[in-house]
Parts: sequence; C-alpha cells; structure tokens
Amino acid sequence: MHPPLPIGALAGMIWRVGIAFVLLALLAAGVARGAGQAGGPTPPGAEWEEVIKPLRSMPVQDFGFIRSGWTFGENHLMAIAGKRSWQGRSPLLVCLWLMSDDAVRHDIPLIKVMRPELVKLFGGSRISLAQYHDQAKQDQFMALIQSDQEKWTKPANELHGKAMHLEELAEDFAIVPRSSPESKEWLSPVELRRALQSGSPPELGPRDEAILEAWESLMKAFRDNDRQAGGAAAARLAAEVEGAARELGVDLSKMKIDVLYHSHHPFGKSAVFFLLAAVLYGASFITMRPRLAWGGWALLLVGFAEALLGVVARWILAGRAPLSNMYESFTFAITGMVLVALVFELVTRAKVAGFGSAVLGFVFMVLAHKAPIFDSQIRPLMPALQSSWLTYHVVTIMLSYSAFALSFFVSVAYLAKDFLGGDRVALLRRLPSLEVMDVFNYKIIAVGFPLLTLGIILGAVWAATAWGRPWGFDPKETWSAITWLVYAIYLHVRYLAGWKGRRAALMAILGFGCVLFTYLGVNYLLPGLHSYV
Amino acid sequence: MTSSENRQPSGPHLPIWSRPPWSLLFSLKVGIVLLAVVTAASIYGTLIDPLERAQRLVYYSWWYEALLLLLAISMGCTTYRTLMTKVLPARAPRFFKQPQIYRAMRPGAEAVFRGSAQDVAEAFRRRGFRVFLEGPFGYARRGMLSRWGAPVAHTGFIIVLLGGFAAGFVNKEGVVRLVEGGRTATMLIRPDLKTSLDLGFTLVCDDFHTEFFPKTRTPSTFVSTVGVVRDGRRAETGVVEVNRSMVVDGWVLHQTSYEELKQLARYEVTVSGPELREPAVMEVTLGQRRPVPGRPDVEVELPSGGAGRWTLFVNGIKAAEGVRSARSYQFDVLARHQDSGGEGAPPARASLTVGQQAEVTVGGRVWTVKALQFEPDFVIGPDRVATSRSEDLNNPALRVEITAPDGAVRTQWLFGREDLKAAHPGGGSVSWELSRVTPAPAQPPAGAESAPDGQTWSVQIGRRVPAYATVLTLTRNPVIPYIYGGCGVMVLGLLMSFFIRRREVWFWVDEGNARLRVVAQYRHSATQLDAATQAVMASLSATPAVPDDEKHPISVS
Repeated sequence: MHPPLPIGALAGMIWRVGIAFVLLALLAAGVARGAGQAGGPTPPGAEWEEVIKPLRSMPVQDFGFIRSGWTFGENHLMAIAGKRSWQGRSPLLVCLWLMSDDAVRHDIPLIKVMRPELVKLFGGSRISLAQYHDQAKQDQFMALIQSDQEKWTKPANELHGKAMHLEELAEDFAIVPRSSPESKEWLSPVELRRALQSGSPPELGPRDEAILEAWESLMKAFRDNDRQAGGAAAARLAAEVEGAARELGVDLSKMKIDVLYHSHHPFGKSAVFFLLAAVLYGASFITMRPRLAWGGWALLLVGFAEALLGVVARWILAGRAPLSNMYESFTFAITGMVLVALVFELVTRAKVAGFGSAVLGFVFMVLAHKAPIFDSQIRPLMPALQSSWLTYHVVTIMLSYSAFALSFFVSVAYLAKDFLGGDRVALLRRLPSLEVMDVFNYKIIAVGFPLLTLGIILGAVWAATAWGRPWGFDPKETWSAITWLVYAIYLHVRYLAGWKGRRAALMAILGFGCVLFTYLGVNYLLPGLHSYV
Repeated sequence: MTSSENRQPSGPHLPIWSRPPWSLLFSLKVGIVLLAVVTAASIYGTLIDPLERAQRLVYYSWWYEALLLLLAISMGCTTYRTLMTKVLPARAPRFFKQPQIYRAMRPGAEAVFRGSAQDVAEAFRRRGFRVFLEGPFGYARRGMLSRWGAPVAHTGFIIVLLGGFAAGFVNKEGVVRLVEGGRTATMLIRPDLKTSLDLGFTLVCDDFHTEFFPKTRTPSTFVSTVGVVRDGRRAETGVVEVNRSMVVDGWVLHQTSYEELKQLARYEVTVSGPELREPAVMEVTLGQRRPVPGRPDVEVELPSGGAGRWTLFVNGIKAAEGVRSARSYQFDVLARHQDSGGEGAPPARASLTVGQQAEVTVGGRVWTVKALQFEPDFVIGPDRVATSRSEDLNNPALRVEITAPDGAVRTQWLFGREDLKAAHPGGGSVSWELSRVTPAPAQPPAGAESAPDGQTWSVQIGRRVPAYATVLTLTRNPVIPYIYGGCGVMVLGLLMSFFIRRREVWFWVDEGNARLRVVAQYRHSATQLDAATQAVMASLSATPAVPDDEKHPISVS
C-alpha cells in the first residue's frame, strides 16, 4: 500500500518556489539587460518612431526576398545583437540611426559575442566595431583561430559575420529597385551614390534620384536630430520606393502582412495562450471544475489560431509552405500537435490531450524562439527544396511527430499516476483511468505510425526525384527508419505479446526519444543531407 | 481479435531449443527480436563517420543485408501463419448459442423486443452490417477487411525489403562531372568513384548556368543543357535541373550539384552585331569557343593563355579578333605622423600602382611603402581570404608593405571608404591612408572590327565570373517501381488495419421472454456497444429493459 501523498502541501510549496524563481529570473534578466545595454551612444528619442512610421512597410530587398523595412530592421538587429529592440527602440529605428552616422556605427557596443574566450579577448560580451577591428585584438584573434582551427573557425566566422553585418548595414539596405535581364539586385542608396561618383555611372531609373535625395535628407535629419525634416524625408522616401517597386510589379500588400507578422508575433502570443490554457487545465484537475477545463480548451483553441496565423502568414510571405528549416518545421509541428489534441479532446473528451499539448506547446514554442539553433528568418529555398514533395513529406512527418509528442505526454501522465499510487491518491483520481490512458496512447500512436510511414515513403520518392536514389542511409533517413522500427516494435509487442500499461508507456517514451533525436539530435551530432531541417 | 486470442499457441508448447530451426521463422517473438536487432544495427551504423565508411561496414555489408533478408523471410512466414490460422478461418460465420454467453460476455445489452430475428437482421443490414442467421441466433459483422490489414501491410514491407535487397545487385549509380563544352562516354561508379563504366553514348554539356538569390550566395537554380551523341551524331538534347531529370537509354540523369572551378578563368562577354537587336551577353571560359545567343552561326573564343585576346568566328571562319581593354589603377597613399594630429605638417604623399614602391619622408625619416594587392570591392570571403565582390570601386582596399626607417616590415590593408578609414588606422607612429584611387584612362572598346563579309561586330570582355562544372548523377534502378508498389501496399495495409473499425455482434432473439440480447467484440477492449449497434437496438425497442446481469449496466437510449 502506498501512503497517501500530501499533494496539497506539495503543490503549495511548488507554487511558492515557482513564484520566487520567476521573480528572481525576471530580476536577473533586468540586471543583465541593463548591463548588456549600458554604455555607448544613445539612440534617438522615442518620438522618432512616429517619424519613421512610413518606412515600416516600405519594400527592401534583403536575403533574396522583398521584405518590409520593419523586417529588415528586425532581421539585421537580430543578426548583429541577437535582440529585437535596443534600449526600447524599434529595430528599424536603430538600424536607420546606425546607418546615418559612421561614428555611431563604429562605437556602439552592439555585436553579441558568444564564447567566453572571445568575450575575454575582446573585453566584453557586447563589443563595437572599433573594438573588433583593433589591430592588437585581431592579431590575438587570428592566433586563437590558428591554435585550433577546427574549434574556432565556426565561432570566428559567426563573429566576423556579425561585424560585417554592422559594417555593411547601409550597403545592405537595398531600396532602389532594379530589374534587368542581367541583374535583379536592388541597390542601396549608398551603392547608388558611389556608382554615380564612379567612372561608369549606372543607367538611372525614373525615381532613383528622388529616392537618393530623400534618403540623404533622412540621414541628415537623423544627424541633426531634426524630426520635422526627418518626417518629410521618410514620407517622400517611402512613397518613391513604393512607387518604383509597384512599377516593377512587386506585391505591396505582402508588406503589410510582413509588418503585421513581425510586429504581432503570433507564435509568441500562441505560447502565452498555451501557458494560460495549461494553467486552466491544471486548475480544473485540482479543483474538479470541468468548466475550467473547457476554458483551457478555449484558450488552447485561441493559441492554435495564433499559431495557425503565424504559419499562414509565413506561407504567404515566403510564397511556399513554411517547412524549409528547423524553426518552420518545429512551429508547424507544434501547431499540428495542438490541432491533433483539440480534435482528440473533442472526440474522446479526454482532457489529458489538451493539457499535454498546452504544456508541450508552451515549452516547445519558447524553445523555438530562445534556443540559438532555431533561425526564425524567412530565407530563400535552395534548389533541392524547391519541390512540392517538400510540402507533402514534411507535413506528413510533422503531423506524425505531433501525434507522438501527445503520446509521450500521455505516457508520462500514465507512469506518474501509476507510480504515485493511481486512483488511491485523490488528486490522481482526477486524471483519466490508467486503462483509458493506455488505450488513448495506443490510438494516438495508431494515427502517428501510418503518417510516419507515409512521410518516410514520400521522402524516399522525393530523394529519388532529386538525387536519383530513394534511400542512401543518410543519418536522418536512418534515424527516421529507427524511429519507425521502434514504434513498429511497440505495436507488435502490444498486440502480440500483450505489452500494455507501464511497459507500453515506456516504449512510447523511448519512441518519442527517437523522434527528438531524429529531429534535433541528428542535425547537430551527425552530418548529412538534411542539415537544414 | 483480442490480445488473448493472439496469444493462443498454434502448436504444442515446446522449448525453443527442441523445435526444428525452420519453425523459428514462424515465431512472432523471433520476428520481433529480429526487428530489434535490425534497429540496433542501424543505430550502430549512424555512429560511424563518414557515411561512406558506415555504408561499407554496415548498411551495404553482407551481414546487414542477410539480416534484412532474414527479417523478410521471418515476416513472410509469420504472415502466412496469421493468414492460415486467423484471417482465413475468421471468414466463416460463428454463432453463440449458449444463453450464458449473452450474460457473461461484455460489452452486451438487452432490450424488450417482440419481433423476429429477421427483423433484427434487417435492422443491422440497414446499418451496413453483413448478417448471418441460424434460428433465433444471429451474427452481424462490419469492417472485417481490417483483419486483412496486418497481412497486407507486412506483405508490402516484405516487397520493400526484397526490393532493397535486389537493388544492391542490379542498381547502378555513378557520377559525371562536366565543364561547359566538355564531353564524356563514361561515368565513375559509386560509392568509391574510382571505377568507370562505359555509358554506351557520349554526353556533352552544352550549357550550365547557376543563378543566385539577390544579395546572397544561395543558388536559386542550376541547370544543365546536355546533348547525347551516338555514333558521332547528336541524337538528342535535353535540360536537366534539380527535381527535373532526363532519361537516356534507361539511365536517369539527375542534376545533383555543381563545383566552382577556381582554376578556370571565365568572363562575361558582350557581343553586338547584325541581326542582334540588343547586345548579347554571354559567359565564356578561357580556351572555350561558344556560340552567341541568337546567332548560332557566330562564335566567340577566348584563347587560353591569350592575355585577354578574343577571336570571333562566323560560320567557323575567323572573322575578327582583338584584345581586352585592361583597367589599371593608380593609388595615392598618405602618411601622417601620429603626434602631429590635424595641426602639424601636411601628410606625405606617394603615388604608385600595384607592384611599385615609393619612399616618403615623415617626421624627417624615410619610410618605404609598396603596393602588394588591390581589391576594388573588398570583402572577406567565406574562407577568410580577402577578395573582391566585383570589379566596381565599391570598397577599394590596398594591401601595402611598409618598411620603417629602422628596417621593421609590416603589411596592412588601407581602405578607401571614409567610414572604414577610421576603423583601420594602422599601428605605429605613422598612420597610413588610401587617399585616392584613380582608374587608368579607359581604353577604346576592343573589337570594333569588320568581318570579311563587311558586317561590323563588337566584342567586349567584361568582369570575371566564377566558372562551374556541372555534376550529374546517373542511375539505373529497375526495381524502384516494385519498391514503390510495396510502399503503396504497406500504406494500404496500415490504413486497413488502423482506420477500418471492425465490429462483430452476436444477437439472440429470446421470443419467450420478449427480449433481444446482444453481445459484441471489437479489436480493442470496450466497455460499451458501438454507436451503430446501440442505434439498431434503439430502433427495435422503444423501451429498454433493465439488464438482468448487474455486471452490464448498459441501457439503450
């Protein structure tokens, strides 16, 4: 007999410790934020946000796409500083300010340094271009790289890339549209000015001079801190660039979606709703009030709608299914997982599905946005990925992973209930019975397994189309087969050898471990063709 | 079928060591063990680096293939056993005629009913059931196709495994690497790429071009135009690009990659002439002769080692030739004593070109500066080597060697852009600055020549562009259709197994007591009757009876 656990006291203690931990974390984050942004030039006042507002949806060519000015700012500030804002200013304002003044650009400690050795070498976790270019430090930097090229080449290239990003910020702000048979590369005003001053000036478009003049007026207004002149120049610049882009057939309606997507952060909002849903589900289990669970379901639905909004917006902006890198496939899988849970809960009334997907959805969504391995930028597709097979293959695989994630949560709930005393403990009686969870787990895997099978087959057909062979034992391929085999063993031992309950739950957890390794581990531990997803 | 049903032995219980070895192939447990062994072997393979070694040691090794073959045979045997002992016998209807079964079996229910077994059968038929009757006893079933799901799925998997096994013997795969204008009649066979195989035809690369997304080094497309030559004659021409293959004599040509050839010099060439509405822009590699777009009868050649020479051919006859106008630069370098700041003596100035050196006097002492390398559009390349993004003066940078009066020598980059000058002042007591870059006076456009037929052609050699070789993979795999077929069968089996709901219902019309008694069996244990059966009972009796067995508190509503 298990003695009844003091669940109430335990929950209270966890609650208090959790609150204290969150407060401490917030305090530490605030201190770190203050420390990280201390020193260096101060950005223009917040009033400038209104001045540059017309530039937010202005089209800019960046990383092979036409994006909004807002997204340009966010992408570049993220690339340099790993932040979406700087001292409370929007990324676009920060970028424009940096472009306007060479001295500021060289003196601002904006470049994020990751490795402790490099932090020590350059004298801080955030350094300026001047610090980076210091000859003595560069000599030490080169010596460090030479000492262990295998270890230091990647971090050195990353740091160098950030410095180049900052140094060439104005060069990259390509807002002068171009479309000729030779090149569709837009020019930045800086490039245009330099070309005009060179021996062979380019053929000018009808709006080029107006764009250049408006741009230079805006830069001057920044340097003079003249908001009135800045506002007029920004409005003129946006109108000229949009006019030129429209004449080239650029779809400007996408710019508004771009701004909405990047300013609204639907995936971030979905994480908040998932957290709230998890809290309501948890409260429902503790207080035995079903209405709270329905509230959780409703919040989960809202979170799902936000995540779906993010997926659809990225689909429109990229002009393809948003499944081409880890971030996109991960957010898609989270959305799929919540959808599967919502439907399962609606059909089976098993609240554990909603609770599980809310908890996992929150954790995974935070991971997708905080872990450095995920890149949230929309990037152009390499040729091998420019195939409709990409959509079929990744959608199917990700839906299967969604089902397996739910099965993992149900298995954990099963084992928790089983090991903590089952229905003898009052709190655990509020979970579905062990038998119901066991069958529920099986049913989710019975959905996920055929999807995984189909996904692997679609991937093989695609590989045969692109590379001429359906199977090459690439680590990702092999690990997807291993995952498939583990779930196949689960189904066989359950069906034929009667493995149910605890052993089946352990097998399901092992299976999800394989899913995680296939999805995340292989990319970073084993080389192969699938390094982009 | 329940799991207990599955655990029923099909033969006498004998210890594993006392059974004949071949009987192990019919054992489900042995099949599961084989699955686990294949899983473990696959994991072991992923730990071996590089992939080619893993393929040699594990995936394409005799023991791994034997393991897969053994698994296929084991699955075939167990599938056969399942078919014979479970699936086929289940086709015959079964009746439960013992009243106690209707009380003991779950899920079950009963209702007040005054009709006949025929009425019940009809009600089940209306719900899509197939019904068999024997007196007052009936057997209704639906979704029995799901019983075939597992054998079908296993058959599909066996076909895939055997197809993969056969592919190891009949599959041919190789690689061809061609520069533009290059040709080959052989390919290098994978995996070692050391053995060559005769193709039976000659492959010619007519054209290969790559495009990049604007302002990135990410290729947006790379396409080869290839010709097939048989018996000295061109038989066909086709386009191969990623995800779009071409078939020649059973070989499937795939555009798998490309290589940048740094040792090859390739230039952008602009040709103007008769019947060309606007100048034709093309790329030509040194040593290559290429037709002008829009005028296939006109060709341009850049002779290798020709120091910027070009030759134009019309209908194969040399029509004109010329030399590329080379652009050179002159640099003004300023040297300023650090202590003088902006107030002291004017900086010393030196004018020089690449390879030249000059002496400057700063603070009464003589320094020497030599221009080593110039990049008009300086950038640090991916391999951390200084290079130029273009030939335009976007970011001029000059690498100089500076010799101090005391003989100390150092090299440094001097930048022309104002914003970079401050960032790279250089060390020591004298600061150096690239003050001005002056392009040499432009040469008259080369190539304004007259062809023998009196037509005027102009050829201008422009910027240097990267040269690439196309890499094509050629495959011949006759078993692929069978593998795809096996995959289809496997998916079909899984769908049948997991998504067709099997329902078997037994009923007994107890006319004496005016009762209808029903029990059912599903694939998974269930606590209540399925919705269709409940609906049938509800349609037959408006007043549900109280179950006579308290263990089955099931009512029909």
